[in-house]
Formats: sequence, structure tokens, C-alpha cells
Amino acid sequence: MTSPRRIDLLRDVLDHEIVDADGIACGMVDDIEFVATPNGPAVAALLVGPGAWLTRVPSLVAVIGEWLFGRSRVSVPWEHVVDISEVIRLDAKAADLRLGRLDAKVGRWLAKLPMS
Amino acid sequence: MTTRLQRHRALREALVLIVLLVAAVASMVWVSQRPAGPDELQISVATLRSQAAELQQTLAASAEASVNPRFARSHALQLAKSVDAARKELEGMAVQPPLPPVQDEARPLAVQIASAVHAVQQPDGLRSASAAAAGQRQVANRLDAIEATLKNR
Amino acid sequence: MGKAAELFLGILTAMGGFVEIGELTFTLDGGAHFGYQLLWVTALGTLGIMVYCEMAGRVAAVKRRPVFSLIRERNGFTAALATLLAANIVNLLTCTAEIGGVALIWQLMSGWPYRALLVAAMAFFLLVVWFMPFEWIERVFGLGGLLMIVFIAAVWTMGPDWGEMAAGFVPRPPQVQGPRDGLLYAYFAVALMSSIMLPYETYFYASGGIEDDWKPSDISLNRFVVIVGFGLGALLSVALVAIGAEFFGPHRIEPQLPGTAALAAAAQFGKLGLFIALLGMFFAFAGAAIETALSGAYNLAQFAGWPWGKYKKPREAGRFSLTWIAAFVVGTLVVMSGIDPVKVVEYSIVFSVVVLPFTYFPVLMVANDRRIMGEHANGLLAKVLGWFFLVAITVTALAAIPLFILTHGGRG
Repeated sequence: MTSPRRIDLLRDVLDHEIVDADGIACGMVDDIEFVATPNGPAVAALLVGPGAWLTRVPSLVAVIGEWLFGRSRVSVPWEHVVDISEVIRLDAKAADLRLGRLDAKVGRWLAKLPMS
Repeated sequence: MTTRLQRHRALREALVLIVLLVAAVASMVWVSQRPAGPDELQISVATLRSQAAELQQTLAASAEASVNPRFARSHALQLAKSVDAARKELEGMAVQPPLPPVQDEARPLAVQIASAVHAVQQPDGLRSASAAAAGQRQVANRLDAIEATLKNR
Repeated sequence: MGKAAELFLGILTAMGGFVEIGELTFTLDGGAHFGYQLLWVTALGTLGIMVYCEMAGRVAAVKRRPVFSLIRERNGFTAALATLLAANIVNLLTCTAEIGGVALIWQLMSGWPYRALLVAAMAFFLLVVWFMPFEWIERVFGLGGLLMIVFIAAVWTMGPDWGEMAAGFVPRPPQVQGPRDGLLYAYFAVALMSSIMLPYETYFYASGGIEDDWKPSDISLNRFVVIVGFGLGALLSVALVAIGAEFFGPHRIEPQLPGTAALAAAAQFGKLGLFIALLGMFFAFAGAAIETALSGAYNLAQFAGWPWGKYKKPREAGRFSLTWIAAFVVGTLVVMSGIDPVKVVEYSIVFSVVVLPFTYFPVLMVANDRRIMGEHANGLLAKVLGWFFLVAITVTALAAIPLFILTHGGRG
């Protein structure tokens, strides 16, 4: 990882854009998952999707948000993060991490149209 | 995913929003249901005056051939919607305190504008555009005078 | 293309894209009611949009990141979501008004039924944005909007009172006939400010800068294009105020429709003037419709981390493409429901005033932040101007609804 040794998770990771190994945007860091270790809490994964950000909004927004978008969420293991700078870079393709699937689906559908 | 506590909070937040919305809608309804006064009558007259003047300008431009007949008809058609709305508003207005002479004078003028703007759509609607323009100028001037009377009350 | 030619085209595009249907309506009507007394608001609004577009463009050039992503990074999810909702509701309302405006213009030119033309307008926008390269869209509609120069020419031939016009740029208490007129003046000032400072200009401009791969070395270029382009665009606004004052005011007409504006050009130049005015308005409204639809898509995609960009093929940015498609479809459906497009214009401007502070505050915060912008953060002048305009638009936001009610929806 080429990131600095000290990382401010709130400032440098949360709500930042995630970019896969091909440089394609595949979501935002909607939440961060920790795991208990003998040395204290450690980052386990980045969480992406409605299931992640629903916990961060006012209750009414959360209820409406869940009704509209569901509660799916993708967990991106911390080991896949290779750089924390302007964006969070991963070492795998979005599809392999189950990210950006809806965009891929919409893209396949649009590809049927001319000059898409 | 959403817990019982979140759903309770959401219900409270929704209730607050609904109360605010109902208050806003109620005040809008109250404002719109208030009896019209001289100010509202003046606004209605001013709207009709502007429409008569605009129709006059369109007809005059057509008579002078500064605009083509297609534009004149289409513009009159677009104007007709607002004219009909303004005429209906004046017809249905119950002014407090009543101002029968003013309303009685303004109503037939509104009808004249509506007739003229719809007449433009007839096959020969622009044949006497010049005369029609002069007519609308007179209507606009009379509405202007009524407006001035209301303003100076 | 050489840098100079690009710069020149950029300026012309900014100028031609300055006016849209809301601004057209309120400048003409304001001029008809109050003569040149609202010119200082036109100047102030123009300076305000210059300040914020320069800021947003600088952020895009320095960070090479979209403004909405930075808003979310800096302010967090909920605050950014509120900004997104505010900005995109304004975008959708404005897009709706422009689609209605285009159909009105086409009806004036063709005589065909309005509702059929609404569907045709929707199809036109979908096809243009789908097939036309981004550069072409910017150039064609920006340069086409320059045909509105016919209004500047019309003012010139009307022989306006130049002294009175110059005096209009100096803010002073308005000369009105009583307190009701004073309230109406305040309403027009608020609406005019809002129509000039619509946020889509800022967000679209910044997103375009990233698509054009701006770098920190492009900051001066950005500043120059904004100042000169919008400054020249403001000339169009001034001309429209003058037409209101010199033509519609004396004829006792309160312009509400695009066709009304064209009458002024026809009065000076006959059928040729009419045709040029209608064509110019078509390009201006159509350009605004496209910009607002794309701006909404940019905002949402940048907030959510989706792939985005007009330079990408639609299948490479699926949800981004679906969003601008939805904007055109929903906008058309709203106008087809029978809502008077003139009313849509009015409501879109009034609503925009109220949410303007929510859309500009985050831009100012990001541009002020040295942690994010480094040496390119706002200097003293940009900070002072940024805060001044934020306070100004907050005051107008608070006054908008009461003024709308007190003036019977801006009618007096």
C-alpha cells in the first residue's frame, strides 16, 4: 500500500470514491467495518451500498431509503485496498468484488441500443 | 435492518413533517379563500390590460407584415390560455367591499379580449388585423383607466 | 484546435448559454414594470455566478475531482444528500420549464399542436444527448444562443435613454408608486437574482472542466472564460431589461411568453428579426434543458460514486445515462400534464431561490479549505466575495416565499 502510515479514516476514507484495478469508479465508502483484535479494533472492510449508509441518516430517511433501495450491501475486505489518496484504489476488478453490478446490468441493457 | 427504535423515531419525524405540511397547505388555502379586495381586482384588470395590449401589438405587427400569419396565430393561441384564465378569474371574483361599477365595466372588456384572441384562429382571422388591433388598443386604454381608478382609491 | 481558438469558443459558448427561459421572462417583465431600476440586480447576480463558477472550476482543475464528490467527502453523507436533493429538484424544475419553452418556440415557428411538439422536444433532446459528442453539444447550443444578439441590436435601434440605463446600475431605493409596488420590486429583485445564479451553471461547468481534463495550469483560463464569457452574457440580460423598459413598458405589456419577446425584435427588424429571435431563444432554452438534465445526472453519479461522463459511451456509464434520460422524460410528462409552462418557470425560479444557499454553501466550504485545495484555496478576495454572495442569497431565500405570497404570486 502506498498510503501514509497514519490514516484518518473519517477524513481520508469514509465517503470517498472507490476505484477498481481498471480505474473505474465503483461506489463510495458508505461505512467502515471494524473487527476486534488483541491490539484493539482494526479495519476489516469497506462497506458499500444502501445497507451501509442507511445507518448514518435520520430515521425517516432510513425507513424511506430502505423501502426505495433495499438493504443490500457489499463488503470490500481491507486487504484489497492498495492506495488511499484522492480515491480509494483497489487491487481487484469491480465485478470480482461484486461492486458496480447494477451499473454493469444497466450498461448491458443500454448496449442493445445503437451507438451506445 | 431498521430497528424498532428507528421506526418509532421515523414516525415522530414523519408526524412533525406532516404537521408542517398541513400548516403550510392550510395557510395557502386560507390565503386563496380570502375574499378578493380592490387590490386583487386591480391585479386582475392589470393582467387583462397587458393581454389586450399584447394582442394589439401582435395584430398590428401582422397588419404591418413584421410577423408572418403562422406566428401571429400561434402566439394568439398561446395568449388565449392566459386570457381565458384571466377572464374566468374576473367573472368569479366576489370583491369585498363590492365594486359593481368597476367590475361591470371590466367584464365586457374581458369578453372582448377573449373573443378577439380566439377570432385570430379563424381562417380569415387576420384579414382585418389592423382594425382589430385598434379595437384592442381601445380596450387596453379603458382597462388602464379602470386600473388607475382602483390604484387611486 | 489552438488554445486561442478554444478560448474564443469557450467565451462565446458561455455568453450564448447565459440566458434561459426564467431569466428571459423576469428580465423583460422587470424592465417593463420598473424600467432600468433592476439593472444593478442583473450586475450583482452576474458577479455572483462568476464568483461561484470560478470557484467550482478551480476546484475541478486542482483536485481533478467532481465538486459533488468533494462535498460528500467534506460534509458527510446526510448534508451532501440534502444538497443533492435541493440541487436536483431545481435542475428538474428548470429542465421542465425549458422543455416547455422549446415546445412553445416550435409552435410559434410551425403552428403545430403544442402537445405533439412536447413529445417531439423530448425525442429531440434524447437523440441529441445520446448521439452528439459533448463538445458539439456545447458549441452548437452555446453559439446558437448567440443569435439572441438580435435583442442587443434591437435595443440599439430603439435609442434608449443611456443616462437612465447607466443610473440603473447604481443600487438605490426604487422609485415606486406605494408600498405594494415596493414589494413587487423586491420580488423581482429576488427572482432575477435567482434566475441568474441557478446552480446548474456551476455544477455543469465544473463537471465539464473535469471531462475536458483541466489542470491547475488551466485556472487562469477558467477565470478568464468565466469573467469575459459571463460578462458578455450579462450584456444580453441588460438588453432584455432595456427592451422591457423601452418597448414593453410604454406599450403596457407585461411579457410572460417567449413569443412576446420575439415581438420586440419583429418591431425593429421585421420577419428576419422575428426569425433570428425565435431561433436564438430555441438554442438558449434547448442548451439550458440539456445542461440541467446532465447537471442532475452529474450530481447524482458523483454523489453515489457511479461511473459518469458525457465522453464515456452510455453503456460505460449506465446509471448516469439513465438519469439524464429520466430527467427529459419526467420533465416532459410534467409539462404534458397541462401545467402552464409559464407557471412552471415561475415556480422553478421561486423554489430555486429558497434552495440556492444549500447548493452554494458546500462549494464555498470546499474552495476555502486549504487541506483540500492547498495553495489554490480561496484568497481574500474570493473569500470575501464568496461570503458576501452567500449572505445575499440567504437573505433572498428567506424573503422569497413571503414576497411571493404578498405580491399575489408576483402579479402585484
